[in-house]
Amino acid sequence: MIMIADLPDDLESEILSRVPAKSLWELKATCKRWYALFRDPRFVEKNTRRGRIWTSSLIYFIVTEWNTRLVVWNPCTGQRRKIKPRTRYRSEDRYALGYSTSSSSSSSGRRYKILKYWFYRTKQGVLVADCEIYELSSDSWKVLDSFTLDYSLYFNGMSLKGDTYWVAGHESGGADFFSMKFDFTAERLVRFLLPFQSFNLLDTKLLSVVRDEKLSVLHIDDMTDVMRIWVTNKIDDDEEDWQRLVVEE
Amino acid sequence: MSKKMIVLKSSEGVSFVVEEAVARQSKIISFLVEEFPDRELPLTNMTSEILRKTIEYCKKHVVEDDGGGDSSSSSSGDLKEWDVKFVAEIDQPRLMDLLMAANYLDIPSLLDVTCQKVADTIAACNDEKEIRATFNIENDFTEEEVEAIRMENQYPI
Repeated sequence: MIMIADLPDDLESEILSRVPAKSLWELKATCKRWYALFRDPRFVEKNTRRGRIWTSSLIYFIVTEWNTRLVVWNPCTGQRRKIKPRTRYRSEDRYALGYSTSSSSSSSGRRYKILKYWFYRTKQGVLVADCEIYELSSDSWKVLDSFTLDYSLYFNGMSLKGDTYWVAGHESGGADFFSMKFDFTAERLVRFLLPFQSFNLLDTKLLSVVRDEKLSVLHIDDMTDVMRIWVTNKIDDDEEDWQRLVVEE
Repeated sequence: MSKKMIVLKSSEGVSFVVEEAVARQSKIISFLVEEFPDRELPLTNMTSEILRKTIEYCKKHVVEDDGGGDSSSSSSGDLKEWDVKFVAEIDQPRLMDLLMAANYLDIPSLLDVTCQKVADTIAACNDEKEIRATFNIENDFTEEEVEAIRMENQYPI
């Protein structure tokens, strides 16, 4: 008798991709093969119809519609939740998604959070950041103290191990670029050094994540067109340990 | 003019004489009859029972293109209904055999309906226990592991 485990992998995956995601999630403890398959991003992609994705992280996606609504969507279960704003959503709002880890450090200790942040300039020209944090488990917003900054966060943040990383730089250029991390456990921004020096606003500087383990950064010098890529050796401590991988000229 | 017939032989050695147009819904058979005309085709990994079922499906789905206005070609709605009934009448172990046959013989539409039927059966199961029993899946998790999976990421949505 042919059993489901005897099927070629692609057939098994074809069958399971036709099962509604909600049922799958309830059946994830059936056997190790399925458990692994349901976590495979390629499978998840096959299994879910994709929506408009503003930014993504790990398990959840945040979906916004012209920043008038905020929806969190779990592609594994297909569940979604519309999140009510503390006050209101504005077009200049930006979001990052992450989780804090408790000391028990098991995956069950993860508390998923959304950072909502926006910048405004005072009459004196000082840049101020306002931040709010929404926690999924308690369905509540918390306001962080506003703070001034002399730099900007570029692009959307990259999510790694529950924290979010941005390339940051002084607005006027002329000073070095660096990286900022929002630590979702401590709920604060931390500054990181990047492994290169760049004083040119036109240089390409991109962060990305390697296998949800390491951070990598790409730098293209606008004047010389030299491209360099670095990858961190570890990211667990608050110290970056960069290793240069590629130099293309 | 009589229709061209071919012979398919099951694992038990039983011969089935089938119209070529019927059998050609299998891409593999279609290829084989071109390469080896006038030969009987041994299907050593298919039992007579499964081969009979497969032929039954192919007969229903063959496109009658010999010009006969009164051909029994069904409307697509009727055909869908027929497919649903066809797989509903097959028990679980045979359904898996049929699915493998459809995969082996490369009959896309039969593969589609059998995969869907298995998926529907999985979705209808209430928990892991039921699914393991239905599909004869071995539980390779320990009690502690199952507990850990239950605890992990209790998605708060």
